[in-house]
Amino acid sequence: MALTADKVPTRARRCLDSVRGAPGRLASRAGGSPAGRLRDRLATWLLACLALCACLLLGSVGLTVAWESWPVVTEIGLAPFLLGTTWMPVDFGTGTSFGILNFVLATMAVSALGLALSFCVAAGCALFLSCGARPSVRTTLTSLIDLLAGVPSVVFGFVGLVVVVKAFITLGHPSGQCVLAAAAVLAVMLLPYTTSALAETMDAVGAQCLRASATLGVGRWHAAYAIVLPCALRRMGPSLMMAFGRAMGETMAVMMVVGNANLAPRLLGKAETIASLITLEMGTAQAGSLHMSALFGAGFTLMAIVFVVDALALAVERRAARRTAASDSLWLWGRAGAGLVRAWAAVAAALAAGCVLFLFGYVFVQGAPVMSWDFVTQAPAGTVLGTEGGIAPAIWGSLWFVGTALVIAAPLALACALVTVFWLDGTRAGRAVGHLMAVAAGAPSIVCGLFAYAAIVRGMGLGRSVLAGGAALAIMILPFIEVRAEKALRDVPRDLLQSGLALGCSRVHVLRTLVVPACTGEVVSAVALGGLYALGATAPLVFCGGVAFAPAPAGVLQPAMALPLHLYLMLAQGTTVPQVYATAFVLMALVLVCNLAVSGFAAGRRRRWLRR
Amino acid sequence: MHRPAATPLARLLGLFCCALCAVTLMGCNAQKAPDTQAPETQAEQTGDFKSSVMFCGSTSLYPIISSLAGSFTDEYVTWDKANAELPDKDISIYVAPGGSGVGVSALEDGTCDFGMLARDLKDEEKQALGDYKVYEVAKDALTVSVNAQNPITLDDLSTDTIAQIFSGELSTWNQVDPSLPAEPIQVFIRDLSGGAYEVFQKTVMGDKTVTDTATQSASMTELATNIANNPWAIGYAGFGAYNKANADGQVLRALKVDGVEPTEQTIVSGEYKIQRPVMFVGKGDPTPAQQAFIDYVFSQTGKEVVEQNGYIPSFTPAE
Repeated sequence: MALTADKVPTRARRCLDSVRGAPGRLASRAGGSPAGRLRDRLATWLLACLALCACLLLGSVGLTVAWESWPVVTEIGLAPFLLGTTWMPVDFGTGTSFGILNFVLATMAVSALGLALSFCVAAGCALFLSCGARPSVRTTLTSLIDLLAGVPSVVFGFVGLVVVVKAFITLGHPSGQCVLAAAAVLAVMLLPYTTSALAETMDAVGAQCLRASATLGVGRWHAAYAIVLPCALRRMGPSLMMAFGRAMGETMAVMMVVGNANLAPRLLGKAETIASLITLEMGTAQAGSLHMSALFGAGFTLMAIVFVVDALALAVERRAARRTAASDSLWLWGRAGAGLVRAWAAVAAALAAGCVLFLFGYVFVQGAPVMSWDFVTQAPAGTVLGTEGGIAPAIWGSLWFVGTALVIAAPLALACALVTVFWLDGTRAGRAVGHLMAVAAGAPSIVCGLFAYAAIVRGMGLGRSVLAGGAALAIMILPFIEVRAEKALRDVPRDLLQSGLALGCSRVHVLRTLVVPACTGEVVSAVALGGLYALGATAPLVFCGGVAFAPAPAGVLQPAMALPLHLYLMLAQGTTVPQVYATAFVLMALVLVCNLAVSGFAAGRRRRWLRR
Repeated sequence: MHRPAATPLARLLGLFCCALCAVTLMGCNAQKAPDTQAPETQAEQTGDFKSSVMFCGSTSLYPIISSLAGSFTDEYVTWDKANAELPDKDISIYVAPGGSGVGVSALEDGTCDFGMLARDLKDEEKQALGDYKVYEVAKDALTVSVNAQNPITLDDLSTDTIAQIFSGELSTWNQVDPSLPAEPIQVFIRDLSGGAYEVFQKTVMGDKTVTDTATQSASMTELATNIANNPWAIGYAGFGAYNKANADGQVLRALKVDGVEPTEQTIVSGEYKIQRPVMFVGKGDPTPAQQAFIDYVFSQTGKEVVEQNGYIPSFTPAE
């Protein structure tokens, strides 16, 4: 529920209230006491410093990847690398060749197909949420679908393996693993992003047109079909392209389901995406070898494609913003069309809700028999590791990793969001930062792990540790938190800031006393969701600090186990599948509890803010 | 006309650029000094006792080492109980997977104490390591396995036929055995970071390369599971993974290679060709703490764990 201007109490009164409380603060106006001005200036510089650090950190990841992949240009040549189809990085007597065309095509094919499938369901679902649902139904369904955003990608891969791949095998496919299966899993993972983006677009169009059409006596669903849907479809390009970037960077879930074979992508054939290539082969590449440079080159190609797609999205968005809504209505097939769309919306919403309920229900039902208090409090044991004992060190390890990641990422991301929204809004620097965040969000998470390995594990000599793993996770979640925090800050009415500034208070003072308290709930939920995202990440930890066996961590300089990594390794074991379900159960339970806590907190803060 | 003052951000950027230049200049001077900040993982400490041991590498060996690490920690808790000369510090043993390739590179980098491998060390790796010690724990063979539901009547394949199947020259089952239907052969292999890939390439494939349509699996047990899930699959499941998969009823069937069946006797004697050592490698001499754990690995407990994980121990316990 957006914080609209008419719900906020008198702006001037609020600002005066905050200033009245401490007499010394009145002096912090321009021209007031030097101590107050110095404090505000220090605060501004601190924010700017942190924001700059955030951008430099992300930029240095990109630069490191570019630097490490330079040998590709000098020793392999760009054309053979980008257009070749043979990939034989290790010389078994038949020479080496590095051609990534199949991988690039496979990545784009899986992402595009996944996005298309997701869009089909998301459009109907968003229409239902925006035009057809009562507010209570809407909030429930939205929270339900948002739960999907917190589920770890390893769990998606695991459920995809046991459900989707098995379904393909029973339907006659030889191995079950194919591009279509991967696209189906990816579509479910992208649902929350596509649905929310489309719902927002539809809300914006609806706010413009639905009231007018109701006045003219047009039925709700007729208006939805004839006006909202066509307008939204024409404006969905940018948000879809952002989701495309996210899809391209997806590693674990796709890797477990796509088959991993160097073939040109076909619908029912196996393929290998760039992210899976890097994850599977980084372990064998010797540091400084051409193989390693080729893998970095593949990662850089991926980031370049995301950059281009994002730039296209921005250009399209700017062109679309100049068009008026009036020219976009459509009345194809008349009433029958409206009825079909209504049915499609209901089916899509039911399908989306069904996916979420099935995912959670399946894992809980399968994992419940193995779950016990001992499972959560003991270390893994047994002559075949994991068949006895529990996952306690993994739970503690995950908490340490997430804590370290949040301590590093949250201040950087929040400072970056504050500076972008309140100092750089509308400037080229602000747009550049937005671009940087979009590209960073699309980078495969394993690239963050590689950077942390090079910088902390080897560079600083700290070895595999929670700090290195936490740093890798921090780089991964920084754009995630920043984008959400930016959105929360932009939703705060501009009048608040402007009335405060008009009264002569410094910008930092207004931010601290008015703007941030207005959106604390959303900002905290952005940080908490970032933490959940870090909780579910596997790929960055493999080289940095995640291990298969360790005692519960006692400091940041030791390696630790992590829940999603433990799940993946247990799955690879093959003999401990019931324990895998139970580990997934614990992960999903954490996701559920955190989401409920965060949305409860956000709702509580909003109620308190509005009551004052 | 009054010139607008620079924004804080612009001023900060300028300051930062100056700082960056200064740091770069200082860094250039400092880089002349050799990097002695090598992570201290090996046993050179005279004063510092390292209570942690880090293993890294093969996905075949890490379950065994992890299980032994768990039971070692449970049994002794602190180092002085395992060896009276060691101080009273908590035992921490870390085991990281990643593949044989990761094991060697981590050992070379110095980011682990022992690298676990499921293959022999290559010549260039031996040179890079310098002074190293090999501790061979078990032998593993690569079985050429098909799904138990596959009605193939042949139970013996020659190395040439196997190479042709894995390279894609024989692509349907009826080309291998005329009594079978014309189903495409689903080939399952290990990924490049696994020692198994290299072993198979050297002992079976020779000059041929594995077909592009083969599915890579990240570990042996995943490979075995993949073959068990697919009636027309063939793959080189490890002996350990093969036994583990068949523990609750036969799901995989191993074919003879050149007339030799993969059994414990033929593997230990070397008659079965497609085999590899499973071992861990350390640089220099182990510290007393590391030696305590190594002795535990090569004890009767270790032998039992190796056998229960489906491998063939290549040592006899000390007592």
